[in-house]
Amino acid sequence: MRVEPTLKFGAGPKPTRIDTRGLYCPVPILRTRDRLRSLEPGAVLEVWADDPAILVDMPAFCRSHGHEYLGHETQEGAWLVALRKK
Amino acid sequence: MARRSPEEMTRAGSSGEPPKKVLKALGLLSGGLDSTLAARLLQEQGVEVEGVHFSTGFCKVEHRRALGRKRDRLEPRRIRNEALRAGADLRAPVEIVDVAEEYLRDVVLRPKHGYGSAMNPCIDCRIFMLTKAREMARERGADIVFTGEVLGQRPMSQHRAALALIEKESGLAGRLLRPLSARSLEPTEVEHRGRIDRERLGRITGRSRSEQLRLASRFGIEDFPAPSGGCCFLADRNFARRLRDLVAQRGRDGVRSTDILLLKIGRHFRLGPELKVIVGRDEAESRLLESRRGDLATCRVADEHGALGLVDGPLEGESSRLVASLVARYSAHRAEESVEVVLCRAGEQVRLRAVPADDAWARERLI
Repeated sequence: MRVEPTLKFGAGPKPTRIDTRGLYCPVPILRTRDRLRSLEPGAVLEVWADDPAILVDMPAFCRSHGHEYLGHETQEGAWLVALRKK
Repeated sequence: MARRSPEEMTRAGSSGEPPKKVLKALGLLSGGLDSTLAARLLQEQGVEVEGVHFSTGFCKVEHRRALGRKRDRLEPRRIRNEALRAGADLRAPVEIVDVAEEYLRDVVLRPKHGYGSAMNPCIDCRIFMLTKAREMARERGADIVFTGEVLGQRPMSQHRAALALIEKESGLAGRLLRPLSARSLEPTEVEHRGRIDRERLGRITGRSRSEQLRLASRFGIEDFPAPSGGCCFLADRNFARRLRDLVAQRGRDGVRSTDILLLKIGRHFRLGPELKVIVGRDEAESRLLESRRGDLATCRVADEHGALGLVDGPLEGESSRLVASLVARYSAHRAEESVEVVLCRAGEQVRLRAVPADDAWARERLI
């Protein structure tokens, strides 16, 4: 499965970003969950990760918890995935 | 009359019956077919399902993620978290809980009910997870806990007496539902009270998966992993030998989760009571060993980026020669008379020529 960059945040407040490079799933998902707790509904969170499993685990996490998965793009040899808190 | 929360709204409609609170269930969700089907059987009866997945540090898929082999990087579906995938398919939230330290200390190293064929403490594992799930269910207001266990499917932890023991010791007597085998087991409280229609649950027993596949087809579930008996390092006999060796050397109190990370990688050789060497089997393993070396010494053939040896123990005199000889044996230069090897500890490098070890000598020291 080859995944092409699709990230499009549109206009809005600057997203919050967490860096999980060097960590392997499920840790990036756990960090995402923890960070989301302190964000308001509708806030955008970007997760920087170099574990390729993030490309399948994050959409699944969003789908099961009702968050909106916004897509991903590559950045400095890693992936930046984004979601909007429900 | 006080206003009810959405959860308390009736599903009984206009039948005249008193409104019933939607039943809520928290399940151990591995993402395998059985736990997914168990959740679907409950959802089919209108039960609100949530899942929990405990990350123990012994999952082989998680290790493959860390190795980062090219084929997995190109096909991330191969290393996805199946519990998250199942939660997405079920439209049910799944909580992932990291229990690695506690699990190692209290379950793996001190199982009350012993090990299976390797170092798999299956009964204690279930009791540990279900005890935690019981507490989570209480916090979340879940009425029951469920699992995808099938009576008679696994020899150690899924025979009738083991299932009863697990239910009792996890403090879930009467509140632990196994939807796939429910009609072959004693009814739980929710079945007694008619909150769940027992007749719509399964009566699957044994190791055959034909009934599960039939159910999967009925529910339209097509995307699920192969049966997962081999996904736990603790059930792997090679891993178990290494863990036993480590416990014998350090004692239970001396084993840390960082040691467990190293036990999953490469070939392990014991060259002396206090000297162990781990040799990467390919570039991915050598890279991972390097990243997890901590303050351990490394040994590598001078002109190649292949096999890396990680040295746990003193590295001086005769032991240096043994380590160098072993690493030379697992390098691309193994057929040569002697090989230049670099030993590195605390930033200091020592070069020496080593004769590649004899195969039989190496095999005798393989853990």
